[in-house]
Amino acid sequence: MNQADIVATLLEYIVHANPTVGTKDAIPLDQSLFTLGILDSFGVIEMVGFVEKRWAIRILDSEITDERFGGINKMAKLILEKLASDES
Amino acid sequence: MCGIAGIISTEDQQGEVDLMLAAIAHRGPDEFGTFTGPGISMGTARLSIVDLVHGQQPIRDEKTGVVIVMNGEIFDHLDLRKELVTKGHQFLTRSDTEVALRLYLEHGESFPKFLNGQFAIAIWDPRTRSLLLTRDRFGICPLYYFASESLFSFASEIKALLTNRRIPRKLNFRALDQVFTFWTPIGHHSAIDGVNELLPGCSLIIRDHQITVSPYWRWPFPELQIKSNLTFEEATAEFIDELTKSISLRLQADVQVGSYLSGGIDSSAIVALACGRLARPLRTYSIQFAEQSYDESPYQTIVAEMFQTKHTAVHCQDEDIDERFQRVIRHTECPIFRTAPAPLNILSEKVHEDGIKVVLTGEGADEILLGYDIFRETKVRRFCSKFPKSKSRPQLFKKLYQYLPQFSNPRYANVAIESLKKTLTSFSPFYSHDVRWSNNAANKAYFSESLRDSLTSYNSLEEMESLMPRDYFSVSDISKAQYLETVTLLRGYLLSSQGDRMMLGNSVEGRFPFLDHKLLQFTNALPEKYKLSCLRDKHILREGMKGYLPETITRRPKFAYQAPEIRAFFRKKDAPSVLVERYLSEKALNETGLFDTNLVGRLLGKIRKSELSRLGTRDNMAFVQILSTQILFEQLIQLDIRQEASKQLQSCVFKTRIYQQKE
Repeated sequence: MNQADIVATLLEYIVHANPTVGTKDAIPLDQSLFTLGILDSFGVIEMVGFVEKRWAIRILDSEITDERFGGINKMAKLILEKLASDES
Repeated sequence: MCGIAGIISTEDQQGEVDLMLAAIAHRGPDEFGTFTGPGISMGTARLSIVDLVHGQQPIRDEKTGVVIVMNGEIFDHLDLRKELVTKGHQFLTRSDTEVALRLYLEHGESFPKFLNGQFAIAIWDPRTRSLLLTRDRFGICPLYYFASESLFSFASEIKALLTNRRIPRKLNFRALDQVFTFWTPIGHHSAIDGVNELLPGCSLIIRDHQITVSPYWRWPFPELQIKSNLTFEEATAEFIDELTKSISLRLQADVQVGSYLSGGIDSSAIVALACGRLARPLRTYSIQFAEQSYDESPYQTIVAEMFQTKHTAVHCQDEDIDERFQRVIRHTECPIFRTAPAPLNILSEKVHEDGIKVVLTGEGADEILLGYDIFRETKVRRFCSKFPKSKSRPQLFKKLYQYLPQFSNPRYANVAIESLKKTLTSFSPFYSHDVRWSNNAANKAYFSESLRDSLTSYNSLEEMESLMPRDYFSVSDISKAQYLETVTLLRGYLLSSQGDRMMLGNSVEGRFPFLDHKLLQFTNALPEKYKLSCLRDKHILREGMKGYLPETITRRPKFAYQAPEIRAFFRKKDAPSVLVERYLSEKALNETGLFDTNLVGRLLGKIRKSELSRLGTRDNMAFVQILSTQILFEQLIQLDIRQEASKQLQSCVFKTRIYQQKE
């Protein structure tokens, strides 16, 4: 699984989770979804739960920050890191 | 309480006022009365509480011809009466309405400032051909008006105004924007374009076709008060004394007074202090939910048993909320963001069935004693922005939210801290509320394109800023937050949609001992730490009630009263409530044109596919806001309100008809 696949899965999730997001194209990849108002704090928690379940990884509380989890690309990067460390 | 209505017009005023009163007959079904003079008619639908036999309205002073109609209560009417008698006034009734009339005759238009009460009053003075409308300081009693070149009309509820076909019926899009931002309309806005709410603490005078609105009372910002130098112990004793006085004043009635009992510190304090003033057991009423996360019954039982009240608990099921919701919106006359008013409507129905006309209730304590988490949050955010390196920051945030059920998930605290980080150094005049309002406004995405287009040049935050009194901008963040909570959530939702409308919908009057302006002036002069001690909310009340209530109540963390939302309407996923099909189908949405059918369809799709307990605040709020707006559109825009009122009129008994033929 590469970054693009993960991004596509995350976008699909967001479109389902937030009915007001029209299409995947409408979601910026490098901005915080929270700052954009696409996710509220409950939505962030739900998204973390989804990521953990979908990729069978564990996201630490200290990783749920703007720097690590603040946008789609950042999330995908974090997921890839976790998957890589699981494999090694 | 009662309902009042009136009209200044050249056309058939009495017939119009009869219909207006019939439309709000639920507010006062005991008897009806009108006054009709040249060019004016006004009247009352009366819920008899004081001077049951002789307290009919309207009341006219024979000497001057001045006439009054009143909704509400003047709690210090006995003292005011004594003063007026010493000044030579003679009374024909024992009613507080006549006291208000004679106070007007004594002091003129400034008379409301002498009143301690909850009221909406109209006074016609034939000497100056002027009509005065005035409303209590907190907005407990509602009062709306419509003004055009040829018509001026006022009433306790919007539906009464809309019986008149000369008043256009169009939804107020700005109010809709406000509800989706602040949870309530702001300023004079109501759900209907052109129908204005008279602001609390204000009087309106119409004379020679000129309307002037002016305040008779101003919010006592803490920084502008003469600081109290009482020690905490002295202040606590005096506070309990003042609260007891406020309760005593509100126990006065010629009918039995009951009390709501949620099990929280506010209503428990009222019950505890009221029981000490009564010869017979107090009747108390509570709502209970099967779902533990909403239910407070163990605490209600503790207090009811301790004070041996005659207690009644009404069990509210999910389906009750669904079945009641349409009727609830008929009464709120405003879109709502939570379903919590519905159980309170069910509760007041039970109170009414038991023959109780008046209940004490605890609203206002969170505002005057800084009980809401938004005050604590503001304090913590400011501390963190002032001391960015403080190691206690995470702990403070965790303590702040520990009482919220979602915080049983420790992750929530981290996310909340993360989300608030960026807001710490803001200089916004709405520092305390910015985060909430910005989160709320995300649901405006559901507005249809045409609704969004009509709001392109409108900014509700700018309007909010323009409504703030000058003093607002110079006070602390906590004082600002207190004011904002009072003029938005308290006035526009707790006292109206969840308060007056849910109670008067079943002919029950609510009385609010914490909303006594003298009590507010006292508490706002106290140091902030007496109310919000570190992060302990309502400190003075909790300490003051230690001798009356057990620690399980005085130390009980805040519990937000809420009710099941989406799940009440989706008890069966494949067969949701009939309201969903009726009001949220593509056809229904197209008919109102207010919401994006595609996006609402997607919200419903998400609900159908999701585990309901996993739907967040935003989805629940969007669903309730959209559904309530759709119902409101039917109730206020589409229904033939005049015809409904005509039917109702047949069962209205008009006991009082006063006519004035000539000037």
